[in-house]
Amino acid sequence: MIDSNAYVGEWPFRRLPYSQPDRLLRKMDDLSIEKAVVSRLENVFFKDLLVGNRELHAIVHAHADRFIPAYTINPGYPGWDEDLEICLDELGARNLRLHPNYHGYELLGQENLRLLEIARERDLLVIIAIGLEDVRHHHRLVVVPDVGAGDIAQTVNAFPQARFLVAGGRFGEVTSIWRSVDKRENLYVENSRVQGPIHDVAKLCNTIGPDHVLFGSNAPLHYHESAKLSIETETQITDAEKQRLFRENAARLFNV
Amino acid sequence: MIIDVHVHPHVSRRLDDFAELMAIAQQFDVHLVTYSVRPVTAANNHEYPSPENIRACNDQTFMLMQRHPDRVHGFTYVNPGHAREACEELDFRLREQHFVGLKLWVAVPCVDPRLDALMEISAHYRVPALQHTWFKATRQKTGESPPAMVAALAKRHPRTTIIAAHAGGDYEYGAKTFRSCENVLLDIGGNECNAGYVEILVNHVGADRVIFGTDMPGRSFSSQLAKVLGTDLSAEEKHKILYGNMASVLAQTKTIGDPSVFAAQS
Repeated sequence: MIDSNAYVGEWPFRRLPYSQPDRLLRKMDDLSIEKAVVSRLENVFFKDLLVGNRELHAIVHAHADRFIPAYTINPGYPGWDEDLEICLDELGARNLRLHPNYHGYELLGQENLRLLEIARERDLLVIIAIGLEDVRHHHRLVVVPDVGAGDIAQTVNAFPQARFLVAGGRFGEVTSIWRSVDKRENLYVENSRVQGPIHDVAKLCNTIGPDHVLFGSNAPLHYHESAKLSIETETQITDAEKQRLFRENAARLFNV
Repeated sequence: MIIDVHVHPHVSRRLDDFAELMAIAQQFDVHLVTYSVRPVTAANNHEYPSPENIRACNDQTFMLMQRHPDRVHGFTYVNPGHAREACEELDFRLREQHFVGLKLWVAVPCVDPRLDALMEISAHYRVPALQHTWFKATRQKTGESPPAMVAALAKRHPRTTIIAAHAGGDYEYGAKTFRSCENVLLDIGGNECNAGYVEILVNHVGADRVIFGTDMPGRSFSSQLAKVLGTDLSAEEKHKILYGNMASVLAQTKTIGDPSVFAAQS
């Protein structure tokens, strides 16, 4: 089983049970999760993301058989392109994570278009995080709505050859994006915040197809068990399809 | 065995769709505490429903109770804004049709004095009153009750068992608000499965006052079950939340058809 959407680190608003690498790894062991794609959670709020990315590199280096890094880039902040070069050349980045809502830039803005052009040229996977938690639960001083599904669809349409994983989207958001994208070969979604309606996983497979849906936990913000149980207990898809969601699609996408 | 205290029957606009929920109930061995807040044939939820609309909702719930007596247990939905009709509707459904609770949504804020008679009827029949409540960082619905209003209601009616739906929406806010309200149970259904959700509730109000709900069909069963299975609580605490606490409440109602269904297993 490969978790396609997780983080390591602390969150400003509450203590998280599996924020630190050792606890996260124990939880992964308990649930038979072989590997997880992780980003530095602090980089949602840090200004200098290179600090968090270097910390992530050290964490992943210590557990290279378990963690796959996704380095966070903020194209709305000065020097992002130099930081990206460091991530690519020194840290060996193959996967990038974007938080357009928390970092306050437009997906179709000039700087992000430049970033996506580099991603396309270098064949980097771009993970766009739609949201992290239900906006109704946010701290009243930090209310951050999800990234607009329409903006993501336009972005994917503008770069049909780039590879995208849409992370942290709810059912309506990810199906809306899928329907609005013209060329979908390089578009993937994960199921961490798809927590309804009933038979959501089967409905995702029917709409998007079982080759483009991945298991993702959104840990440590969410209980791992939600995304895992949702696939495991789904009665309307086959065991072979479950295997694709749990492992095969991620193995292909992340070159495991 | 699990009791899900928060189930809406309207999968789409066909009552037959309830079969999907029944299949889930059988898969996970669940009793469904069910209440309609929208007649199946209606285009939208009416947030201030007419007495006729209310009756249509409760008729549909009753039909499901009759079809699935071993699995479905109905709560009576009313609009306290229609005070006389609401009391008559609640009394009739409890007395004649074995409904086992009261469901209140957003027609009026729950500090409205017209709720008092409904609370007294609930206490008389020893049935719980489930009140939708949500504290939001974003905009509240008109008539939506934040947890502080539910706490005030509970303090005014100490003989009535009140269920705070969604654990207050913002469950951390709910946990603090309801800490000293001994007659309030917190239903965990309907929100995202944030890590630590149930542990925070248990830390503040204890495992005896936390109960399992899903808010199906809008939420999936698995995502809500994960809130309990994902914790490091003891097996006994998990059993209380998933079954035992609510089984005790239902077994004590004067209206349940066969109290031994819950008494024997709680």
